[in-house]
Amino acid sequence: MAGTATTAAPDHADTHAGDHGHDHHEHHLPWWQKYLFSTDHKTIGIQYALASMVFLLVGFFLMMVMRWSIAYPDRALPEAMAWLVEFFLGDRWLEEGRVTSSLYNMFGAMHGTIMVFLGVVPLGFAAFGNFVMPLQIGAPDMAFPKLNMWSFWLFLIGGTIMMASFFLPTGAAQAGWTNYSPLATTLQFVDVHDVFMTGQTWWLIAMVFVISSSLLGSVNVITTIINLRARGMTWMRMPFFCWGMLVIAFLLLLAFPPLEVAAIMQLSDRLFGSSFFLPTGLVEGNQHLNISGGGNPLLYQHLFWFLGHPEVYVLLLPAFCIIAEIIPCYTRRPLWGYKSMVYAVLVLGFLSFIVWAHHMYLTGMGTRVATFFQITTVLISIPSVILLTCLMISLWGGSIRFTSAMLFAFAFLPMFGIGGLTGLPLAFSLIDLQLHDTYYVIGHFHYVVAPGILFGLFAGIYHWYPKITGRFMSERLGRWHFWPNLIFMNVLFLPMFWQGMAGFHRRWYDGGAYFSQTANKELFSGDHWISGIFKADGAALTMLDLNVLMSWGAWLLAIAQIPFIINIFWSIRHGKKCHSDNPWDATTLEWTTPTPPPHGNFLKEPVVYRSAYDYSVPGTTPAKDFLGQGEPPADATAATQPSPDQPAPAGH
Amino acid sequence: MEIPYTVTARPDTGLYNAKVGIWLFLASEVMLFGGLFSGYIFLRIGADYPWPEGVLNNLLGFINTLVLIASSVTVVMAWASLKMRQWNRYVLYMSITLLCAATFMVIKAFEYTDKLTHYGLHFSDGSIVEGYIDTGADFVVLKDVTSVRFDTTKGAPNYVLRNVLEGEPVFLNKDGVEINLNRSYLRTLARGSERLGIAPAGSVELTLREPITIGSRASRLMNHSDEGMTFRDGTVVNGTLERDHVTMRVDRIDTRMAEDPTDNMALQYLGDTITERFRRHAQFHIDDFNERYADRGFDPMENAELLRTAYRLKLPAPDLDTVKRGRLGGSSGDDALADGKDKYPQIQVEREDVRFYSNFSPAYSTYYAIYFTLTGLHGLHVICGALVLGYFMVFGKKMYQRNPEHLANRVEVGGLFWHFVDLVWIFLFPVLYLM
Ligand code: HEM
Ligand SMILES: [Cu+2]
Repeated sequence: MAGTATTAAPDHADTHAGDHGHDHHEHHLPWWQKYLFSTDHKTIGIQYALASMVFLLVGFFLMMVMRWSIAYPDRALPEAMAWLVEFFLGDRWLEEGRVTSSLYNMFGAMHGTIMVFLGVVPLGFAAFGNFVMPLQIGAPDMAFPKLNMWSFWLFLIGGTIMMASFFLPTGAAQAGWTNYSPLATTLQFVDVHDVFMTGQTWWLIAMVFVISSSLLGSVNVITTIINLRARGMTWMRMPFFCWGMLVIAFLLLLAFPPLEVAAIMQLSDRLFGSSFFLPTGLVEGNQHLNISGGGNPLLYQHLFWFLGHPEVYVLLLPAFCIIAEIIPCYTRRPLWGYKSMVYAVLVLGFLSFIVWAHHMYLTGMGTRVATFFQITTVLISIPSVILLTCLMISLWGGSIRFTSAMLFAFAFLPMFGIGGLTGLPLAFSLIDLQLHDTYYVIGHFHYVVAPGILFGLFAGIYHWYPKITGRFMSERLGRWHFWPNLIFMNVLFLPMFWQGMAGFHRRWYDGGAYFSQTANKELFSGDHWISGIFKADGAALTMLDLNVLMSWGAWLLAIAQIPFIINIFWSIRHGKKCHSDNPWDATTLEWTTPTPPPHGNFLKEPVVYRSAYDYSVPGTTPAKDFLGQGEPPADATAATQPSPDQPAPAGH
Repeated sequence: MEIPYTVTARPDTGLYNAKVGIWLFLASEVMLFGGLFSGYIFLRIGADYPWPEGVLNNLLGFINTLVLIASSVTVVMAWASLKMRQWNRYVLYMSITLLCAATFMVIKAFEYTDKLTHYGLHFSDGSIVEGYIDTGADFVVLKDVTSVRFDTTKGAPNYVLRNVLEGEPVFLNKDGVEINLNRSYLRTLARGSERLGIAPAGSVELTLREPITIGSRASRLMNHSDEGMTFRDGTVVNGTLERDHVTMRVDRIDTRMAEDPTDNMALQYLGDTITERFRRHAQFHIDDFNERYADRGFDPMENAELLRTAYRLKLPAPDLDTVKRGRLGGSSGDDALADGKDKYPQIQVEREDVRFYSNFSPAYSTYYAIYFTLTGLHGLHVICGALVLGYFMVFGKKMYQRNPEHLANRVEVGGLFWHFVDLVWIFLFPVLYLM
């Protein structure tokens, strides 16, 4: 691990390294207040991280079962998976060991929901935002610590309800993660003994909790950034990470309420028999529903996607934020185009509110509307490209240290590039006619989310782990984590583009076997050498065979996570010790605190003198090639006089 | 550790934390109600039935508007009193604010009860009568129910258990032993039925210790006959049909949606006198319209406003000869608070003539759905706001003595929220009551 040995310790490092828990109240708190109902932003961040990683694992497992059904629709589930399904859900979901269509639908809906709302957003925004952001702006905590605790617990209650819905007589929700009405309203509706005790209803209730949690969290983040920046931390000195968090919080704040409206309306449709989303004359199970009708299913889609599109940026931006911190640190170069990145992310945030209907080209909402949303959708790719380009140029001429964090950050760039570029064709309604609801769309956003966003989050974990524990994560395990991930993610997601263009629908539970007459296009004839690798009997390699390949990619991807899980736990005790508070020689303020940071974070009031990425700038030496944001300039008189327009914090 | 700027403002932003927080929170609230109002517009524009207009009591709505505006003033006075360090005046103004909140909610409760006890019934030909149902909401009543057949994998037969009118539902198993329908027993039953190969799997038939009577709304039923009924979840009960009709006191006819607005089931049920008056009333308005716009060539049947006045009649039907011309148009507003419902004509409607019926709850139409959602959420905001303000009043003394500015800040933030709640109502009132 080249370059990690500290050359010159910043301010407090030598006096306080390894000296934990300076704060006096901390010792008096009972354990449940310290670890469970803590109001400390760092503890809450870690709570979010642990909870969301558990949810990610659950979501991953659901996907592995689905992939079996896609690859081998006529074979019984493998012993271990079948045992888990039966142990938790009972035996009615498997038919002679095979995955039933309702089980597939249920897992599909819950996979998406769990991954997006309970996994990636809480990990990216809530966990990283909570842990890192207040440290980076030099604040003692969030502006409203108690509210922060409540956000976490609301999130956990929502997540628990979501999980508990698996055990209801009806099973969990089955109408896709987008939960479109009328299907979502009428499913588990007429044929149940009690509409309240159904997965569809609990999905909505859980979402109301999760949404409320996000709203409180975003109020907290924005207030903290606006009001608790340290002295000298002007807007343009703020690390890009915090800018990103600010934009994400605004997206959540303003985009989530319409989804809450949609959830409330759908709840009312289910429980009070109203018809917000149910048109007149709806028939379900061969009988006319005894409802007033007169509602509009499109209204649901508008409300959902008004959140849904900003939500994809809520997923994406934390990864960008993290990587914008990591790349300068491991290339020892300032972030290229910091200002244009800031403006780009602000424009991106604004535009993301006016592109939502590109998910609805096929609903018959009209060509004029579609044209408007095509234009905005193409426009929004401009700021996305600016962000990505700035990050790539930041690599130029750097002396890159390929630590695990940097490897993941590095791979993020092309992987997100594929995801973003494949989104562009979707923006045109003419092309989208062909591609909508196919595996192409699945491939598009999974490239963004998995090898893109998840890589960014992995990178962040490797990067900030030493600040939390005082030890590095194992670099060897990190490499065992990285390479298999990179390979298997591509094995899993790349063929989706071909399948999608061949017309494979995204929700076929048998992977297309039923439609094999039309869907099973030949890729390589039987005598081609590539067919020879996969097929012993000299048969041609077809689109359906890709299912098997991709599923194996998925299962091996699961194995590829094992080094990471081991690494997280093993390194707490056995990782290499950091010998300073700033083991990566980074410039931002979080590295000037003791390790781990005590309650209240800073031992003395932090003051900021310069921009966030002063690596290898004039004034640095080969021995110490960076200037921390909190290091006073060499000119001592200026050092004692931070710019006069900067306020002094009141309560330090 | 202490969080900076909890009380004093940060010099460069000029704001203390809670003030930033509340403005952000209000921004998200704007999006919440903005979403609901957009929903309202969407539903109203896309409605495939005449959107109800003037069905709420404007006077009550107007009083509530005044009440809320007054409370917005007093909450500012309360805050100002704190700023001037006058505790008693603070308590006084805050009490008035809370009193206003309570008044608002009481009036709201009257409006809600009025709606929820009032029914609308759509005949199968599209004509509508509105009024009060004497027989209760249960359309179909089944007597002497002795057995229930249901799907145990879906849990207990709630439609039966929750609709018992008489008797106690105690189930017996094959051997005549009383059973308790808890989860584990249901699972045992399901397994048993599967072993016996009963189709559909999980379905069992249980007998009752003593006969019971159940009633049900039509909307929960798949079908019924003289010997029993099937709920929409597939639960089958056997018994004797006692009632298959509903008696209703009609206070309004609305035939706009009927194929023939002047000859339809609603009028047939109501009898000749009312039909006669209804037709004359309609003709009167149509003639009036033609006379007024004689030179413009408007088609009266295309004019929604005319249809609304002509084919909607409040009962007891006015005798046209005794009523002055000017008062005829006023068929808006509800008279539920007026004394005695006996003056309304009573009809007995057979179930097979009914397409849909419901009280004026969210289930009745998308108008009532959005009405209840909007006002319900607004009411919830009123309650929450009042609770918070009340807390600052009742438990604020200690903080007032320690740090009065802190309390003043809190009241300011609470007051900002209160103004927002008021503002929402200012939009709600015209949108729901007047437009
Ligand atoms: C860079 C520019 C991007 C463009 C032009 C774009 C365009 C689109 C379009 C037009 C669709 C709708 C396809 C359809 O359903 O037929 C779509 C779907 C989707 N996109 Fe993107 N996208 C972009 C970036 C992103 C990013 C950054 C994310 C982050 C996660 C993302 C996540 C999604 C998701 C989740 C869906 C599918 C939602 C669903 O139907 O379940 N996209 N994209
Ligand atoms: Cu989108």
